[in-house]
Amino acid sequence: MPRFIGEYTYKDTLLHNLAPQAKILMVVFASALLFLMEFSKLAFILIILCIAAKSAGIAIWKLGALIRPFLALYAMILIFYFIFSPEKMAEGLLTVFRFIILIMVSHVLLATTSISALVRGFESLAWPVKAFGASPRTISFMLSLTIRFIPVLFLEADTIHQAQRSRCSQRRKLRSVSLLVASVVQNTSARAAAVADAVASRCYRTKGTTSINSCRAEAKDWAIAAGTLAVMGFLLWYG
Amino acid sequence: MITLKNVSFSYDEKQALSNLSLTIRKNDYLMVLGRNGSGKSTFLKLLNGLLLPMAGDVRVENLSTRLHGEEIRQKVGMVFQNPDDQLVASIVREDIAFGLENLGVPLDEMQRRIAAILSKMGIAHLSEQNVNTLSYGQKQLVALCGVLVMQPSCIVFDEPTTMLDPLNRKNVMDMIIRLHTEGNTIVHATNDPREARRGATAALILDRGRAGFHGHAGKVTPSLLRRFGLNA
Repeated sequence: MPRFIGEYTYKDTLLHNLAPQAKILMVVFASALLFLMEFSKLAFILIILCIAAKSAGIAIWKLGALIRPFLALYAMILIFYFIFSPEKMAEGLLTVFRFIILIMVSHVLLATTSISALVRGFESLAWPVKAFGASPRTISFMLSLTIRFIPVLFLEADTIHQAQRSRCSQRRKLRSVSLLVASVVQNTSARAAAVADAVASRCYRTKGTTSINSCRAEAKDWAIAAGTLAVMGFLLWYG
Repeated sequence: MITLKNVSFSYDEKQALSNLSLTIRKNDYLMVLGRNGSGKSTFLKLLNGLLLPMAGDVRVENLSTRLHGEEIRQKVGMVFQNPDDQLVASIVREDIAFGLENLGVPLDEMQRRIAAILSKMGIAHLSEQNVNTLSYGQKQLVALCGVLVMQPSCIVFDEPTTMLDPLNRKNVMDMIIRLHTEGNTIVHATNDPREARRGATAALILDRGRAGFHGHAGKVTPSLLRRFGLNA
């Protein structure tokens, strides 16, 4: 996961500067369209994706390198096809190809959008939740806190684990695992209370707030997103 | 500036503070001493309305914490012991902006204030860094920036140097003393009397939730500290 999430670096490119909400919608709809496409059209999309990645300063080999971590998943898909419907192996390969492109699309999104911009993007797209009495700012803040504290919790779990090992606890024993989980849960709830105090002391509220990250999508952002999806749609139906 | 009148607070059965009355004047540097569990953190949280007294009243510039919580939290900023619990955003600049965003400060003003505070604290180069990559000392300075950028008139420190190495401890202490000389009111809880004595003008020793001593910092002698079980 950190391989994906940690890879964002700012560059002054069209994709980097595209509004996050436009990128999120584009990825969501493009992912749906990908699952309706055949080999030749997917190959065309892959070429366009490589050009887009190159223009955003992402090395093409990095896109290729994304295949490796998921090899087991692809192998599993192909094995299932081989066992249950060997006559449809071509369809299995197509599914794997779709997954590969989907992962590459996600990578391009995450490599060109900071986590905070993504969260802001989700926040501005989450306005329908207001109808259910929820606050988009609270939802995005919870997302942002989760992302912030995931590495901290891993670090904490590692520290507790090392403390256990230093007292000759064996990693695989069920008891030491349950003790590890119990300690992490206990520390997490103590930490949650401390974070709540810190948040309250900095005047957290959901209304009348401003934002350091301007997240306004302009007409050009929507035009680029709509144009990309239109090309994909055209390719799907008339290509 | 801050007045506590007959303040008591308890957690379930456990009495944390009993009948505490004192005044913290503008530009005081109050060091708060006491053993673990003596009520230091409870006392600090009462000052900016994070906790409300169960009896008595806490007033900041004549505003009661019961009625003006948010207004008071703007006037009284708080820096916690563990900076990891205080940093809520992943990027330094965004974390410092958090309080300003909540106050509805316009973008231009926000950027100006953040740039100024980063430069004042000498960490402008960390502006775009992920907070998870910072050292504890750097995190504590970022946490302090997040409070100072809201321009409080009083800053409350809850054992801010406990988790730091000697060099970072000195940096943070130098910064606290500098903030005091610039006209801020400081309330500093610590386990180490030597540390706060450098700049403190007043002292409060809490002992099982009661004020064991409240007076001039110069009157805190080793024998007085020993009387309350503190390391002299």
